[in-house]
Amino acid sequence: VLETDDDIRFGDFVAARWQALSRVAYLLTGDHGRAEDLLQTALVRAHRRWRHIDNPEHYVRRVLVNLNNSWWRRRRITEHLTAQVPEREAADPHTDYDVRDELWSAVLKLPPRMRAVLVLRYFEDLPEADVARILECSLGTVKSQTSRALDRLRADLTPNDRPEPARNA
Amino acid sequence: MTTQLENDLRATLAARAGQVPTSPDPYQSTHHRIVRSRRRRAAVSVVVAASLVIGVPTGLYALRPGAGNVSASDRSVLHWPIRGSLAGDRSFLTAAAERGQAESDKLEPPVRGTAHVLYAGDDGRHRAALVLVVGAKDTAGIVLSGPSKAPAGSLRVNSLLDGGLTSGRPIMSFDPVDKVLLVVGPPTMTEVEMSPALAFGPSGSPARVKRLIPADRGVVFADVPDGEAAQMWARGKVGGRFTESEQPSYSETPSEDAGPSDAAITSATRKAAGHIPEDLASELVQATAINLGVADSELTYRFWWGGPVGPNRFAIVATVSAPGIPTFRMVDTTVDQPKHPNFWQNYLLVTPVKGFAPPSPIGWTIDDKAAPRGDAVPPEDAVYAPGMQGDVVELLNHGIVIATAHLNGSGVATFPLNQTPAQLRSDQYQILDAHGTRTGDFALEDLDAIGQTITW
Repeated sequence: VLETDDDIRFGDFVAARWQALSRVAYLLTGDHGRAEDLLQTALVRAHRRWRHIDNPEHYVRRVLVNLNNSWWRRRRITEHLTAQVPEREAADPHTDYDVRDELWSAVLKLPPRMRAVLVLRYFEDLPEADVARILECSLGTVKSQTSRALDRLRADLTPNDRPEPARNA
Repeated sequence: MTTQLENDLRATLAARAGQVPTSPDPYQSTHHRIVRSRRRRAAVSVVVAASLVIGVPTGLYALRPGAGNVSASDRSVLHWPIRGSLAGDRSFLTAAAERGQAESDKLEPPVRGTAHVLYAGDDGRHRAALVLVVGAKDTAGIVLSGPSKAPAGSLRVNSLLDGGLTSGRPIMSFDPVDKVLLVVGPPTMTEVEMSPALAFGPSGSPARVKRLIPADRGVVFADVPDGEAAQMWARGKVGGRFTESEQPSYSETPSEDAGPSDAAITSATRKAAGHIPEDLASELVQATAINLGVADSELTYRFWWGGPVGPNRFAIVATVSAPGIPTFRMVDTTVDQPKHPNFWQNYLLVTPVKGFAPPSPIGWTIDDKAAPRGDAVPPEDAVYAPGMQGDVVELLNHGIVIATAHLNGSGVATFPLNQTPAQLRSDQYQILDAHGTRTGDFALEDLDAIGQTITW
């Protein structure tokens, strides 16, 4: 499969960083299928420009966020025949409808860019300056987006806004 | 100071991220995508000993018609019970499983493994079966469909699915020949909301009509006579929540997957004024075809002009149409980031027009309202007015001129970037000729939401 030195370096990068990046992609999309599609699309883009990328991890993260923010992204994900289906865990918790966690549910309601700020800040634990670099925005924007996102989460989690618990028929 | 909410958020994100499964060989799947993007065939093979099992032991026939309550877990596709009126027809199930394996063996790379029939039904007019073939690394989904009473061997292969097949999401397939939608979800899926096709209003604005179809034990097998395969979107309702909407899979002809012809792109860009890089043109055509739900080969397009509209910004003006789709005039703006030359943002303006006549003046405003001020995508105002080179464009806000610029040699006027929204907030412009005579008033067109509508 590997052909050139660039391909080998790219393959090493994918092998080493796939898991971490797929987690970010999942947190950005909230959907395992879309996350895989998103990450693969980002990696294909990275591969095309591999020789010109100084910091692949930084680049792929930025493309992930950028693609996820844009409707422009190819969304028809069901026709390609190439994805490796990951090993399933016994309980198979990977269901996009099984949102048990209210906070996670609230996160999923956030606009993509705002969600990206939270993922980079609170999952990746990146300093605000790094988040700003990835999102190509100012430090102040990161702060304000974080604050607004947390406000929205708080509002969403107030008891009056909580949905009625599901009832069995 | 860290708040409890922030602590909870960290824990929640970490817990959710912890559910992301490992991938045994991520490079292989990525590489395949790369190869596909190059439109070359990959010589990759996966050899796995095949076996033939119809369904799985757990709850295999629990949902034969009239078999009673569902006991299988929603969370594992392979534990979903087999459903459909043919669930008890062992000879058909065996034939469908064998056909599924034969078809999955034709994939590249081939998928060889155990066949699980998840659905087999016949409504008196149509017949369909969904077979999952689970290999050591890959899973293939084969949807067979055709006329009622047809043997498994003669059914069409409507869909070859992948990626997240076993995740528990509803598996959706549309047969564009018989116009039949099959959605196989967990037994607790109660209904499917679907939009059969894009609709266009008198002005050409896209819209979607949605309808609900009740599920029978987690399955919808329904006629959708107005369904258009490439434009259809659907989602299932499971546990009171809708899943993420997605396009039901359908069989594609090779031409649909071939991508735009390089020669055609080259020819089209050479006919345009200015200069249009072929990779940008190709990406615009591919993305347009996908988002309008048509094949690249069905798309008729004409590039009018391409060139810079400011520092690190490049625009393409084109007219595009396809069968069943109104003719659109498009402005595609690409924003490059100076510090990161490989990063860009696309904005697309789509306006219905009557035909492929050369464009009259078109002005656009792009203000990424989702991005707070200070972000890397400042607002952009520009006007393309071929044949009016040298004329003056005045931006108006409530009748007051707020900015002026000359149309350059390509007939393009651009306005300074990095201004506050108020400074560039405009919805109209006028063009004055060399004598200062007003030649027309025009509306600035905003980045619209067509993409959101199209992709639901």
